[in-house]
Amino acid sequence: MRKVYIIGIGMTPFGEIFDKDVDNLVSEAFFKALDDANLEQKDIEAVWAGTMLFHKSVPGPLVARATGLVGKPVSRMENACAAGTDIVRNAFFAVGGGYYDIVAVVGFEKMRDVTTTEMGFKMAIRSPLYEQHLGMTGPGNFAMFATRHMHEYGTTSEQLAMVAVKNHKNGAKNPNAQFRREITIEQVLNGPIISWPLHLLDCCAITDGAVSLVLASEDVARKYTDTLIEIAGVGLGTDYSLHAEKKTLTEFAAVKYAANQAYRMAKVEPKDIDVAETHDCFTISEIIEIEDLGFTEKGNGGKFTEEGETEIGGKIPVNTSGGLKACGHPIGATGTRQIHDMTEQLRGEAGERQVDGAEIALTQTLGAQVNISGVCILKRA
Amino acid sequence: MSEYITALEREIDSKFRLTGAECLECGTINYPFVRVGSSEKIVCRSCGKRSDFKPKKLSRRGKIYSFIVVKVAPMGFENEVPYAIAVVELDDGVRVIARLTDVTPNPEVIKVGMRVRAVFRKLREIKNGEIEYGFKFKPEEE
Repeated sequence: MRKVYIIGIGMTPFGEIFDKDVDNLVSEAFFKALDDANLEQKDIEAVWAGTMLFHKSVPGPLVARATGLVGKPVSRMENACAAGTDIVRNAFFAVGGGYYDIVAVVGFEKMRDVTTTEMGFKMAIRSPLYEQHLGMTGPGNFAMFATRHMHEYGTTSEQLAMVAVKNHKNGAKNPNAQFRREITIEQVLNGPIISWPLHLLDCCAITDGAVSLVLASEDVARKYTDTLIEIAGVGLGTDYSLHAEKKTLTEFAAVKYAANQAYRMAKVEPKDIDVAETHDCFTISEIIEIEDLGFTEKGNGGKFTEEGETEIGGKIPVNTSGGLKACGHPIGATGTRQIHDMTEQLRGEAGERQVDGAEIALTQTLGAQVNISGVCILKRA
Repeated sequence: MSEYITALEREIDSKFRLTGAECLECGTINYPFVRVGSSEKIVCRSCGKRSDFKPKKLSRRGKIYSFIVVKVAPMGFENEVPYAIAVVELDDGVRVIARLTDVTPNPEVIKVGMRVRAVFRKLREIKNGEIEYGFKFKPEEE
């Protein structure tokens, strides 16, 4: 394998973007990444596109048209919330394996064109067949873990709320975030229940957005930039779809599988990670993820959060972008957005949210019925 | 509303009689189970092997392993809120996921560890007024 570097990043601001369609979002993100890399369109040899829900036309040709790359190969990948990580993983293999020198990825989703109950249904029909009749929901999938984690480890609703408060605090300083305002623990706890034990503000939002990256091999990358960010490790893990089949409801097995692959490939350990973006689709997710990624021991995620160790300035700052909680969660774009934001951190371009001296970063997505997870480890070269 | 025929309807014994498949390679009870094509073999959830199996009736009693109370439902379920869904650990160790019934869907009432038993109930009306039946779980009488 050759080394692979990120040499260009670009994204649309996330939010309710009623005046733009998918192709507008894709083109905006792509050309920002291309400009950031100082490249021309003709330099891009292939594209990977990540989206979960897009069905209005075949995404490959649509992305080719929106990027001005008609004729070039564009592969669509769908792996629920891990899609945005998985496109980078597959593009990494293509460049690392030596077949291409310069490729792009673009993760996108347009979710705000339908009502929330319709979007809930789109998610619910993806439940395994044995759960369809139950009325299981996206928040319900994670609430089932929250109840058990609280029961076994004494994790509290207040600790869950602290994840939301921290991530909104970070997101308030992120110009690309959907929600750029701080919230309080009381606001979280006094909000309506969506799926007990999760309140409204324990949940991330439904969002539009697109993110693009340009990846290149080492010799090519050095021609375009001096600030090389290496993709040092990638992983993709799966787990049982049915909650009743999963080994426990206190850990995310898919995350552990993905993280172990990425740690091994990057030859680093959890203690080496300086800053991380984890998949805080719900507050409980971040608490369990920081355990399963090895940042703290199993069961201690709530306490670790309460002690401020995941804040900027803590032992391991998590979701310095504001995470899914504040940035919003355009499903196919999120994994790519995390890598975009960690690239900013490693370049030292994260502004008020900068983690001083960050050299190694980790990103992690987790999706569907808590059964698919992508992990990516980045190093400043 | 979903137009799909669910896998449950294809393995109706498992749905209506809570019947699982015991893997003859490792002894794990699979519920539900994944058959290899239409053969008499399953892909075991535990050992992962393509295994012979024998049908195994599950315990009808167990305790709540985890649960949620849904207040905001997806399209098609809005009229049912609030409702409780639980992962139940049966006395034979197999876990199943099901709706709870005959109990107020309230975390002040429902608790992890609560004893429950399977009852056969109406699950929902599907298309054209057709009724889907199956198992729910209710608290054990003291």
